[in-house]
Amino acid sequence: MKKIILFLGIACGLVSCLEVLELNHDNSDPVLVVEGLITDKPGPYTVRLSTTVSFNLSQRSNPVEDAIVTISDDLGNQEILNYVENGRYETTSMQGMIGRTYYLDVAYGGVNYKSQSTLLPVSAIDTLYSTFEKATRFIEGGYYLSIGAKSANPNLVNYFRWKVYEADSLYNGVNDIMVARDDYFEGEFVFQFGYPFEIGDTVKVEMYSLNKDAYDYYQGFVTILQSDGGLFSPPPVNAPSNISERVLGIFQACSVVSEEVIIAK
Amino acid sequence: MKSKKTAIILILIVHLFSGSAVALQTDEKFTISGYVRDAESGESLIGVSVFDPVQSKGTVTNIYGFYSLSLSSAEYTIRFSFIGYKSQNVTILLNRNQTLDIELSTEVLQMDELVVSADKMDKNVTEVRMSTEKLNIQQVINMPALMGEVDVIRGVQLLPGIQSAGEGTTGVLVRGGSADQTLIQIDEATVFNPSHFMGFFSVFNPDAIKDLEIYKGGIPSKYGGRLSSIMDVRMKEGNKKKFGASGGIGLISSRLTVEAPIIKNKSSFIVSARRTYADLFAKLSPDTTINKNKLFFYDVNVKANYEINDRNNLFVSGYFGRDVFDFDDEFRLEWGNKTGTVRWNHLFSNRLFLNTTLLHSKFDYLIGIDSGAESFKWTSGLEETSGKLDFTFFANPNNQIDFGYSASYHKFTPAVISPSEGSLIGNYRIDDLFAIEHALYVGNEHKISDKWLVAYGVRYSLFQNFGPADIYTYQNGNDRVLSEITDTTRYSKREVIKTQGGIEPRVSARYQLNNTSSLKVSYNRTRQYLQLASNSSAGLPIDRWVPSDAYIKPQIGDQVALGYFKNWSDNKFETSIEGYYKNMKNQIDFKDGADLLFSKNIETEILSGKAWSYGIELLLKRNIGRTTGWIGYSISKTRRQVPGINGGRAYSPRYDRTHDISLVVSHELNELITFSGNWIFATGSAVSRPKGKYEFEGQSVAYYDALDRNGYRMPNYHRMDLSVTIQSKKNMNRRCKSSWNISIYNVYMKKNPWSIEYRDVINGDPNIDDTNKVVVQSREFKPVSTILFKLVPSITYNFKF
Repeated sequence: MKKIILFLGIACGLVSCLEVLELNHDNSDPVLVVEGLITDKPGPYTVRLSTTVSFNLSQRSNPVEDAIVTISDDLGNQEILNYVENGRYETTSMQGMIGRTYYLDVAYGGVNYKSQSTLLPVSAIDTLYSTFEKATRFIEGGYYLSIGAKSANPNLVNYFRWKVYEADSLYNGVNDIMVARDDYFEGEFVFQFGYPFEIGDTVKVEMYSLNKDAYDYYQGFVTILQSDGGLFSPPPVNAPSNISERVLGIFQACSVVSEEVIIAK
Repeated sequence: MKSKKTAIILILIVHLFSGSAVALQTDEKFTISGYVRDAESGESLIGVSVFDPVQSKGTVTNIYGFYSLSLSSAEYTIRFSFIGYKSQNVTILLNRNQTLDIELSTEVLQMDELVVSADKMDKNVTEVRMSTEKLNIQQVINMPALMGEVDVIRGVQLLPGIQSAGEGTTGVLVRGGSADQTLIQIDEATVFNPSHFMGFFSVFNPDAIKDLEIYKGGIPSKYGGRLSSIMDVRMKEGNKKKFGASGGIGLISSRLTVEAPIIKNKSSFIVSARRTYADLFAKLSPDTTINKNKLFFYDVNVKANYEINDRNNLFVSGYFGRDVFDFDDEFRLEWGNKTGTVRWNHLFSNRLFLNTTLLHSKFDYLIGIDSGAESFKWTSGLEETSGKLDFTFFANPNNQIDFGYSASYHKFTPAVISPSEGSLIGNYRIDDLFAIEHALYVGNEHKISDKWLVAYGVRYSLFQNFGPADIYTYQNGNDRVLSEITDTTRYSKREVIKTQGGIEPRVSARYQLNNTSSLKVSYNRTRQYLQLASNSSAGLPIDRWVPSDAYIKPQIGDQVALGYFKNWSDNKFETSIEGYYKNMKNQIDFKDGADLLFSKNIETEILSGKAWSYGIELLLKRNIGRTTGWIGYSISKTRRQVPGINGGRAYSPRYDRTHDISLVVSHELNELITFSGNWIFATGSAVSRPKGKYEFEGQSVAYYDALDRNGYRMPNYHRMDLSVTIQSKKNMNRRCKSSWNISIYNVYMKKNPWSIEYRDVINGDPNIDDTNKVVVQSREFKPVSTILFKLVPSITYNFKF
């Protein structure tokens, strides 16, 4: 939306400009942030814990080192995660399985935080191919990657996420969180990524199954990441966590498929 | 509260009887009635004072230029006066009912400023209406304009108590109401979205507009349908005497208006058109990536009228406008309004006036991707078809009764998504919705004594949803969740689903303190059955209109206002101070992350609460002389409280601005040169501000306190605009008159933030958005403001013959 506004501005001969502001910010007490993921691929799986930090500090986050993190499943398996570094806790022997439900338990600061997630299946990637697009005002010229798949369960709404790696390096910008739902498609879908590649690039795409709460979380997360704070954005709210109201972040169990392609003519 | 209301009603009843007692005592009465028109063009004039200075009895012409005055048999000198026109005195011997049509000529402004007609220009003091503003279109035309596009809505937004949603938006927010609580109508037809170019310009072409009135409170019983305000825009009728054309060439658009008699003095037409051409310049570009884009809006106003005879007048008018964005033949966004009005004024007698109106308005938009696997066409819109009967009965000089009935049929098409060939996107459709809105009203403007003038009335409105439709039942009726649908009821075609309605009392009174000052008080209740499901502050063309239904209760508003009005120096200066309190029930808001566009169960996305607003507005205005303009100030507070938002605690909507000052001045240096200037100050919008930051998946994110929505303010907003209008010297001796307008928006280049976003700033430069192209030396999470308009000069050439 903002792009359209800015384009309008340019078309009307206006010069809009950006400026960094120095504002005073009140700061709330630190809030726990959870980043937990278990997949159907071999572990170890990681749960990262941190807290919010004061806005004007240069520090980006404050790792939590003294929590007790436990993951269990609906078969009664349970494992206490080992602390590694930078707020990261890892499993040692646990293996995610499709269809299982996983439970997270974090004991921190005298409070027990709990969450759960079911590891849903994800369908195979049918096609992964690139097409050449000429440069226009809105898109860069180059080879655009398209991914195609069938719905994992055509009777349900399926939610999923893509991650894109180029030469094993994850695309992780503000616009790189891509989640989707398939109910506007009829049983299969094709999706084209919004940035071009060059000939010879090795591109890997991972596709994750998501629970609805994870989809809602990422939708909210993308909304707040991309919020321009302007008149056309909804009032900013934190992405809805599946852990508790006073916590940020999410715990999720996902199945993953991936496909790799070398961009060619 | 209840006892107070009873007391007011009792007083009114007592006064009604005393009034009729006075009426019985008088001698035989005769009625003088007719139309008042502009001598040059034959346009009817609205709000002309028709007055007998001896008896101090009088009236004003209605919105069709008609007046009716009943007086005892005698000889009278009736004075017809109107701002900007030469007053006219007509002596008549009133011994029978008679018709008197009057033509007034425009006043050529005298060089000596002291020669100002001391006419009856104290309407603002003497009339019963309060909280009503009439915009002088000519004054708006002289105002500095953003990019040279004269915009009447921007003029309206400078009046106290009226705000925009933010810089460069056309929403009209009145006394703490949201944009959808203002009914905007052109020739009585609803304009659902008054914006062009996402809101930078309004749909009203100033060349086609004759009159604009906006009611902020004390809304008469004949108006309804929205909670906060009615903005009534009237189109010009067309010159009945001679052919004329006018137009202008600006930086982004050109305008042309043609008007002419069809049958001289009986019938005429006007056609006014405007189109932007930013994209036409783009077409000249050799760059194929630029010249294929389309980006324009156009609008056309047409109107024709026919004076069948003394007793019958017919008008037909229409508005068509459309915005088109078409990027590389790939992505398309279009939207527009269409309205049509057929109006028949009929005089049963010289005391009973009937206006019969048929109206149609439509708003729709289209979004499309033309080719590829994701191609689709998405259309949405709504339509309103109405019939209205509005009677005015000029009972006697002390009582003027308005009554009438209207019915509106609404059809909503929330979304239809159809894939193009080869697309993998499926068909998606949200079922159309149907509703009918009825309203019945009666109101009397009753002059009780020289001191007391009261207007009292009541409106009864009724809203019915009907089938075909599926209505869902939820496990918990109050907290509706999509996954908890327990039952579906199928309603067949035309079957009534839900009927809601109620009484809307409207009362206002004026007490004349002396010749130059008065006190006024008003109370009105309003009901609103349509609302915009918009989660952002400024309306977007794709926002969805939602009718009240089994789950969404009609909005109810109650407003009391008190005002003191005083004119100075022979009415050269008008001053007023008004205070108001407004209470709004059943206000809708939206759950976090609500899907407002595609939900088939919009009731699961909506929350309901209340809002209230209060404030004081000051206005000093000068309408006469070479220096005209106004200073407006308002101090106000608006709060909303919705369970499920902000932890159920009250919060300020974004548009709540404590202080709001507008200074609008126009000075005619001589016959050729007019200077105009505006200065605006407003408290910064209420916004949420992060109370920390955190990292998730390597991204820095702002953390917001869920219990502190809009608890902070944007920096205060202020700016000054200046313009000069220069008439060509040759104008004096030529029929063709031309002028240049040079405007500068934001003269002292105040960097007013349009938005503030929180994000990573690379190397201290907010313009770097691609980290692949620079060496990242620093990455800091900072507030970044976007400033849209830093000094925008423009030049426009206007002509008229």
